[in-house]
Amino acid sequence: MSEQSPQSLEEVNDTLYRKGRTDGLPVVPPTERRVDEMLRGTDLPRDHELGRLGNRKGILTVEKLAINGVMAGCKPIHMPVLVAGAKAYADPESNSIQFAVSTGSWAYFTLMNGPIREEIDVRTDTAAFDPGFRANRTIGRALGLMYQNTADIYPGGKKMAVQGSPFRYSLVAGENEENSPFEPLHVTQGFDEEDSTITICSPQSFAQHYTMGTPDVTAQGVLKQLLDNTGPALIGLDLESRRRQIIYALAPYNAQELGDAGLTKDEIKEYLYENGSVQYSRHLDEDTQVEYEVKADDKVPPYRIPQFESPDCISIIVTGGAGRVNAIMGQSLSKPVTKKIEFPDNWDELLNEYTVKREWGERTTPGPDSGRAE
Amino acid sequence: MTAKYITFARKFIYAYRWNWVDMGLLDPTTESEMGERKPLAPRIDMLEGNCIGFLRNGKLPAPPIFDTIQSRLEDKYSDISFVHGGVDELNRLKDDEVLNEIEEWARGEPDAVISAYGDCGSCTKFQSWATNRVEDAGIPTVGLLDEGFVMDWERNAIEWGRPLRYKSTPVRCEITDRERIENLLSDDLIVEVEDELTRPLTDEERVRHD
Repeated sequence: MSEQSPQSLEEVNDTLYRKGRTDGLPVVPPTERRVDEMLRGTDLPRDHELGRLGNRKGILTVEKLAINGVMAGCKPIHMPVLVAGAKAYADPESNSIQFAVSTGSWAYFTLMNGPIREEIDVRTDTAAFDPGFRANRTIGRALGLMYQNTADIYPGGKKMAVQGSPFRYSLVAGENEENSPFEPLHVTQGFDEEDSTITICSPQSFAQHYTMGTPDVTAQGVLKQLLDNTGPALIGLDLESRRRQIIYALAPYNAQELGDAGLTKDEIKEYLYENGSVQYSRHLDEDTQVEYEVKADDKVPPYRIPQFESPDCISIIVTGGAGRVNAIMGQSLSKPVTKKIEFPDNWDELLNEYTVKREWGERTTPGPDSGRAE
Repeated sequence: MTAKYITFARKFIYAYRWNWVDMGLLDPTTESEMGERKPLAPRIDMLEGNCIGFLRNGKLPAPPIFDTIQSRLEDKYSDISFVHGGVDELNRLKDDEVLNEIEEWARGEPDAVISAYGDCGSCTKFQSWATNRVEDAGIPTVGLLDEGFVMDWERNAIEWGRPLRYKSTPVRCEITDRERIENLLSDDLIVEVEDELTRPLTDEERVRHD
């Protein structure tokens, strides 16, 4: 096969698959040379501990992360993102200890913000969540492999996802900041606009909808569509679910309708909170659930109650290209956790060496186009 | 034929001589410091005359299962008492503070503890964490599980150092109907639950591997 491995590519992959170390697709064999090359993407020592993951508190080092990155097809320019992503998974706030194994089949949602999107060609425009874009695909895959091989989880053996998620390692995009009227997510999360960041959380579902014609294509219409398409399975199915998180991924055109109406992110969240509702009867489950607070002077219980516990349950991002399709991702077991991406001293050199200019995939909204050939 | 034999032989060799170095690869898996093996707590001789603790993990089937078991045990024994602990909200057992409280609770009244209910991926794991803390307190335990989550329990428990005892039941996840649960929990199954709390430890369960 390749350098350093006496086995063929097929044999290596068969063995890794037999041992449960892949996601089912072929992987790049993690030879010492490839891992050393991947480690050029960080100034951290290879034995630096990034965190402990899973029930077994597997000790994730920079080297182990790099090995999984190689297997996923990452390049050294992806390593800074992987390091920040690994820190996000190791943060207890991410609740990865739960969502990675739960019967609920939660996806590893990943969003990138800031200059990193242009530098390593993270897709933010048309088909942002689609297959095809190396950074989007390999970073999500690497973080997924990193978690499963560190926590040592596989279906039936600690991962109990009833039906699994087709989005598990592939729900990855960059925010289309250039075509958003709002502050980007990382700024909402407390970072500076010029920072590069990675954000993770764990939505269970990905539901898309159109906004078409009048009166949908207005600020009020866009908000109505968001509310009409936020079913109880996305948030608010029961009292516990009401406390969970939801992400509204707006198409740039739809976001612009809201921006043109002078709405801020906070005002949109407040509107969704005030108007989102589910049937009260869903929350009456004998004595096993705490009932929604009914005012003493209510003659009868309310018919509908708020779907979200608070506006803080809601995140708003803008991604995708031309057109008017939004996506709603919920419910998430964790709040979005954002980490700043730190770059090695040789970053510019790495970009020169490893950037591949695509000959396809033009943007459909205005913005940087670093990934394409001049 | 020869080619098939060689392929088979190669696969056999790789299966039994697995070694990352031989493969010329670096290992993507990680170390853990969690492997220290701990003994199970000594069992009690009998339930009669003892206080049985019920440790709930917040899953909905736990209270009606406990009600059913308590009712059967009250009918069977004249001198038996019960105490309840745990959490009402799903998965709070993952919090260190809550686990500390569980261990303190276990050091109080109960002589043996039954935990329930392992019927989802994370709740089974966190149930095993809390049950392990009860064993840390020196109190014998048995965890009640949906049979589909037995492997999940075993693998999570052993990573924390103990082959925690369990009993799988025919109560499938999210069933809360009391009458249905009473019908599913046979008297024989209750006896088997008792057996997990009273059957002396095996050599393997007593052993501590440092």
